Amino acid sequence: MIHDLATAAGLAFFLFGLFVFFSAVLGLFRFDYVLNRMHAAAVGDSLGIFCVLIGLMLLHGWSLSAAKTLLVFVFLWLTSPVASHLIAEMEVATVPDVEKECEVEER
Amino acid sequence: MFLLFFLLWLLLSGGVSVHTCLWGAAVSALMTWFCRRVLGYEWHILLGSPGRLWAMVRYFAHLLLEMLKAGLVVMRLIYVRPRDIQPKLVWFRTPLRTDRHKALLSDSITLTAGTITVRAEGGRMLVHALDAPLAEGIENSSFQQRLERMEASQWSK
Amino acid sequence: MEQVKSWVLSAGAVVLALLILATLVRAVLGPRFTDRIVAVNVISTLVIAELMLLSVWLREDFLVDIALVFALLSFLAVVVASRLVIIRQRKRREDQRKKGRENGHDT
Repeated sequence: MIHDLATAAGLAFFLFGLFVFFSAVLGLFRFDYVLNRMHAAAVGDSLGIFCVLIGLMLLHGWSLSAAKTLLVFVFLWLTSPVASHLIAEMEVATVPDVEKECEVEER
Repeated sequence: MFLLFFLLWLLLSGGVSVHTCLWGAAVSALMTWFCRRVLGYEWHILLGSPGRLWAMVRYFAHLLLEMLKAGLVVMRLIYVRPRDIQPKLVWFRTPLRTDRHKALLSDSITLTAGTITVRAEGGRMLVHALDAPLAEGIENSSFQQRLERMEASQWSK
Repeated sequence: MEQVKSWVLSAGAVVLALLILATLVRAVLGPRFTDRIVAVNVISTLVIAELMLLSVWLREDFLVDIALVFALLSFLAVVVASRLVIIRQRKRREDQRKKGRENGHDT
């Protein structure tokens, strides 16, 4: 019974994560500038991988590979902000004029 | 730190036996020595007292919740109006003093979808926000208030 | 329940593969090189999700380790590429500044 419940919850999380991935890829196509596209990519990186990996951990059950899945997940959470920060820095450093794409504000 | 390496070793070797435990203890002792002496890491500041550890755990729970909310907001933006958003670059100044807290703040800002830290130099940060409402309270966000409180508890010690 | 699980997992694998193909199209289309790097980053996230899915579906534990190594390598690729671009950009800007100063002295 509990096993069935865990499987159902895992499948639900997994399907929601697939939906998030789908909307992230859709966002990659619908936004029109790199910095805006990166936000769609960040949704897939954080929310999508969170839902998919929680679902797959529930499907794994209580085992060593579930713990390793958690490790992969923590690792991705540590690295994905650094990766997207580096990409954004590269974009702002190389683009000829940022002001054409979005307004810059000082506070 | 030693315990962390040892747990990682056990997780990766995938089983508890005398052999793996002995090798794991040796390797994690070596790694702890290496990190202390060569790389200069010090973990006792971060995990000094149970109260501070509890604050860290609460901070990460808060980060998780904020991330889920921001993800839903950006997903709605993707579906509803992807063409007429107003992306914005905001320079702002953070009152945080230690580098560790600054790094934690910029990591949190980047991990919540919709805002990305583009550049961080000294006490100033350049943040790109996907839409104007997302950039509203960026210079006084909830992450920053929590981190300020944690930093204050560290200084008062 | 087991049948539903294996059906959903196989459908999810197909959907993830289609999303990877769509992101590859984005990487080919992307007008700037940062577009392509963002797309490659999203592809690596999707591949990690797919590897975890396969490890549940085929009941192979070693695929989780492969996903871990893949996460490490993709992060390293992004970091190396962006560091190279930023360093080169900085050098070019300094060269331009030096050249401008020399021209200023000449005239």
